[in-house]
Amino acid sequence: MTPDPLEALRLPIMPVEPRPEFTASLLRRLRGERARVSGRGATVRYFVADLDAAVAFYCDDLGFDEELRPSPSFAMLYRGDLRLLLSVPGRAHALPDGTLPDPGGWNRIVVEVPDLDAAVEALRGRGVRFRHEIVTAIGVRQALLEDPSGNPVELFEPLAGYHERGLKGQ
Amino acid sequence: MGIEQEGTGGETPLAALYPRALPQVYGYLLLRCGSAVLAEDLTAETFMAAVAAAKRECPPELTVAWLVGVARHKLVDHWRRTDLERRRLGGIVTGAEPVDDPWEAQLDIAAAHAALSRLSAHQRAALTLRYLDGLPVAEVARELGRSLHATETLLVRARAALRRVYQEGEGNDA
Amino acid sequence: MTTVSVRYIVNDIDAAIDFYTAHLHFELQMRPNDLFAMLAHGDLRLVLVRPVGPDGPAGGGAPMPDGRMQEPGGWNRFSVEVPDLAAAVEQLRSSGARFRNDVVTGVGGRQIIIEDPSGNPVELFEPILPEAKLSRPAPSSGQPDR
Repeated sequence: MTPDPLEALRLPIMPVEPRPEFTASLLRRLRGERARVSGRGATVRYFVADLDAAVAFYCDDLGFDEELRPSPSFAMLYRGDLRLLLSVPGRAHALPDGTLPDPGGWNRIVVEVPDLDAAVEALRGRGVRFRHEIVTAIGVRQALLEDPSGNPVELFEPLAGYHERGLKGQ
Repeated sequence: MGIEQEGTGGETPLAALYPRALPQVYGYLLLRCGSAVLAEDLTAETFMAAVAAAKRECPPELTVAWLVGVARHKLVDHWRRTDLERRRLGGIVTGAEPVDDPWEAQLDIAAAHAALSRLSAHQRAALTLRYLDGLPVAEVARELGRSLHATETLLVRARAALRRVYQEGEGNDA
Repeated sequence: MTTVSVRYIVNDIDAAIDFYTAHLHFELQMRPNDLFAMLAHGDLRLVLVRPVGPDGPAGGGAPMPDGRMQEPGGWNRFSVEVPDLAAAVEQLRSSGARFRNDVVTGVGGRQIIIEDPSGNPVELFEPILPEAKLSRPAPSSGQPDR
C-alpha cells in the first residue's frame, strides 16, 4: 500500500510559551472564576475622574495589575485577592434623580506593605498626596494617602501584637 | 478543583498542572490556527471550561490530554462559527474541482497548511483531526458528530479539495 | 495574608455590627470597645471605626493633621455577591433596610446599593452566568460598564 503523503502533516503537540502577560492574566481570571464560585477574594469599587491617571497610579505606584480596560470609563485591577474596580461616574451609576457619584470620602481599601517607611518615602517622592503621614496605632503603623481623584488609600505595616489587638478589651 | 491563591498551601490539580499544560494547549492551538490572538482566546476558553468541568457531579480526570481534547473541540467550533463569514468574504475556496492527481513525494508543509486554511470548516477540521492530530477516523467522526461513513466521504472530498488548492498555490508561487 | 481589608467610618459601632451581621451575613471577629470593630465575610475584613476628636486615641478614626474629621458616606464601596438579588432586596426592604437606588442592570450583572445605618454604601450584585463572561468584552458600544 502506498504511504499516504498527507501523513507528513502529522504535528505532535509541541509546547509554545504564550506571552507572559497572557499567562499571568489567564491565571488571575481562572482564580477569579473559582473565587466567584467559592466566595474568595473581595471587590471594591472606586469612582475616579480620570481613568488613565488612576490606572497608572494604582499599577505603577501601588503594585496593582491591570486586568481589563474594556472602555474609557471602566477598569478592573488586581492586587492579590483584592479586585479594584475603577469607574468614571456616568449614566450607568446615576441615581434615579440623576445624581452622579463623586470620588473622595473616607471609606477606603487598606493595603499592607512590608516596609511602610520605604513605601511612604517612595510615594512622596513621586508626588503622591498624603492625608496623614505615618502614625502608630495599636499593633500597626499606618498612613493615609490619596489617588489622583482624591480617593483615600490606607497603607499599613503590622507590628508585633497585630494579631492580638482587640482581644484584651473584649 | 479550581485554582488556589499562592501562599495558601495546597495547590489544586489545575493549579499544579497549569505551568506545564498551558504551553501545550497554546502550542496545539497556535500551530493549527496560525493566529496568536485566536490561540490565546481559545486557550483561555479551554482553561475556563476546565474550571467549570471541575464543578460537575462527575468531574473528568484533569490531564494535558483532556485539555487538548477540549482545545480541539473549541478550535473546530471556531472554524464552524466563522465559516459563514469567511465564505462571504471569499476566504474559502468553494467549488474547487476535486483533483485526483497523485501528491508528489515531498509535501511542502507550509503550502499544505496555507491550503488547509482555505478549505471549509468541515473539510479543514476533518483533515486537521485525521492528519495533524493523527486521530483514527472513528474518533474524527465522533468529534465532528457524523457517522463513520459520512466522515470517510468527507475525508475523501477534503483531500481532493486540498490537492486542488495546494496545486493552485504552487502555481502562484512561480 | 490573603485577606482583603476595607475600612468604613461609622457613627455607631454597635448599630453597624447589627446591620452587617444580620443583613449581610458578616461574622464579628472583634469589638474591643465602642470605637472599633472587625467583621469578616469570606476573604473580606471590614474594619469599622468611629471618628474621634483630636484628643481621642491615635488610629483609624483620628482627625487629620489639618483638623478634618473623618466621616461616613461617599460613593466608594465594597461589593457583596448574592445569588438571587431580587429575593435579597425584597427580604432586606421588609426588614427596613435603606437603598440608595433601584436595581441596575449592566454588562456584568445586576446590582443595587444598600446603605448601612451611617449612610455608607454597599454594593449587592448578582453576576450574569459565567458562560457569558467567556468572550472578550465587546468594544465600547455605549452600554453601561460594570
